[in-house]
Amino acid sequence: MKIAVCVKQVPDMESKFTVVDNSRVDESQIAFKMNDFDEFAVEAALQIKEKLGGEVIIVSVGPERIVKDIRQAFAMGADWGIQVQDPQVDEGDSFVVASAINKAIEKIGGADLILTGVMSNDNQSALTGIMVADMMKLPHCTNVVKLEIGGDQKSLTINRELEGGLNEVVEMPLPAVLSIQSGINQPRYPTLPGIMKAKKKRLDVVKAGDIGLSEVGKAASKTELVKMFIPVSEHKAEIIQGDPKQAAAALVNKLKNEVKVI
Amino acid sequence: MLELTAEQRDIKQAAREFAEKEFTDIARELDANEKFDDNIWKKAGELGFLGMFIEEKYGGAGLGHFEQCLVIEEFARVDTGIAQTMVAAYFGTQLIKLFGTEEQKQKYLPPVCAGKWRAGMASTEPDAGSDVAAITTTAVKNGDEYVISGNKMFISNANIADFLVVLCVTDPQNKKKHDRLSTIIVETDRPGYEANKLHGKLSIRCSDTGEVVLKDVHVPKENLVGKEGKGFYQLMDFFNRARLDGGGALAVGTAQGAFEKAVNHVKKRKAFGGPLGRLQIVQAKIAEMATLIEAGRSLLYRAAQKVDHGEVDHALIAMAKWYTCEIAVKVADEAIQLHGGYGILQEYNVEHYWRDAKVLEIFEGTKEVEKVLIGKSILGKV
Repeated sequence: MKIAVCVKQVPDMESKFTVVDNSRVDESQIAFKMNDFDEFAVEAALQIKEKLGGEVIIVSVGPERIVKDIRQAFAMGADWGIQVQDPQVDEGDSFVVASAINKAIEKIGGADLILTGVMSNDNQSALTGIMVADMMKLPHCTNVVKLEIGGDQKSLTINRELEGGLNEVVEMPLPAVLSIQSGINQPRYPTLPGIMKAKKKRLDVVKAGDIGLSEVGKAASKTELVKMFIPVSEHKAEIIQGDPKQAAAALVNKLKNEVKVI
Repeated sequence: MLELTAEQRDIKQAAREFAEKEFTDIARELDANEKFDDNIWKKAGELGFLGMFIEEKYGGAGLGHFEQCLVIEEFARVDTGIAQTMVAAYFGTQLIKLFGTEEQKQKYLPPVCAGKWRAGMASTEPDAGSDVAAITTTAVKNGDEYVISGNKMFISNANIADFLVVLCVTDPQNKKKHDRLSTIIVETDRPGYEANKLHGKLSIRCSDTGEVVLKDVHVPKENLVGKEGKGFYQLMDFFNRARLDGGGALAVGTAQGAFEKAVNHVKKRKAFGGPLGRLQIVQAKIAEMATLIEAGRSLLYRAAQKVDHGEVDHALIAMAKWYTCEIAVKVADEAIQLHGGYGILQEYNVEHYWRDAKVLEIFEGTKEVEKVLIGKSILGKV
């Protein structure tokens, strides 16, 4: 089975975030890592490969610094990868990134299964997987917490996580695009032999033009970033004074009718 | 600092991720209870972090002592005690790699690298530590066997090792006392092997340390490592490797871990109208700590890389061992100082770096012994 896994690089959330020009984060103070949800997707792909054979291909869009995380996926066991490294693509929104992924997967001859993280730690748009599916005209499911490939390898059964702890089970044909939710598995650590093999694995680095992507950047984007800022946090505390009985009653009243938590 | 290759950076990162995820939650509990969780050791073996300098054909990664240092440094950054148990797991394999027979390498190295067997090195005795040549444990040849008798002290993994490389006197009549010694592999399940755990340690409390009693332990003569009478010299060659990761890297990682705690604290803790870090005296302390760590790391990395390039500079290794271990104590001490009263509370998770740093100045060659080695190397016979 040929499985493509989309991997994004995101800031380590323990980094210090400073907004520059009301439009972007100062990257000089940021450490980058693989998107957590994508790590679950890589692990899910590797588990399928271990069971059914085939290959796991990493598909990534972004600057040179992403290579370290692609190599991490290689060290975990992915076979090879394709990276769209083009500043013009990076200027675009989720639609442009999804377009680049679509074309990159087309370039590698398609895949039987395409996995993405359910969203990215930074933007949290949860759009890429859905858009890629739409562009490729493939069935798609989000919030996947369990997946099983059918015996004929032409269909799969998945569990989707819903609000309130519910799961729904869905059957769908392959090829398909799935957005993987955290908790589906425990991503493996890269092994030392894996790390050593990773540097020899094939990584095709392409530009937009190489994959037939003509419309890129802000011009091709469907959304416009108006402003980015760090909201001022307001810590408010109210001390209810007076007779304990009355204070307790006032507190219950507030919890019930104002905050609505009981 | 010397530049790392992309692969070395990946190895360091992988070790950091492993340590942060696997050590953080249980380190304090293991320390308090003087216990260890074997799952960590087994996982480290499966991932290839143990005995990385051992050739691939014997189960290692075929990398260098430098890469092993990078990994141990990251382990110690999170917890020195757990990091030391990792070092202890392959302690002694350096000697087998250097001087062992093909059969010994095939038998003892792969299971250690895989995290299935634990090794150990037994040279220190109740009355002979730094004065290695004064040991009294004897190995008497009897046909195809050696019969070993004596006591060993402060032995890592004494109670849990699968085998120990034991330094013994094989030629007590030799006029040169350094030529009386040999190293012999002793499997710990042999009759006559006994070990007792040492409790109440200040440092590396989760790591097994014990005294060993050898009562007429019979081992086949094939267990001799290298040549009879060369044990002392082999041991020195062994320490020229083992002091890198088992001394310097543990120390640099310990210092780094304590330093990061201090940096974090002085950014958050407010006094005199702002974060502590705004005070110049605090900035000076942070600057000194950072500089000591960088200096120690550079020294260690250079010493390790020289070994991997075939140049064993024993004075440089001794400098790295002494200096890194001393600065680990200093940096951990300042880290507590910067925490003020909170620093001595276990809850603040910084005091253990100082406790653990102390033993680094003692084991694997005391800092006094290291200075003697350096001095002799510079002055020669005067």
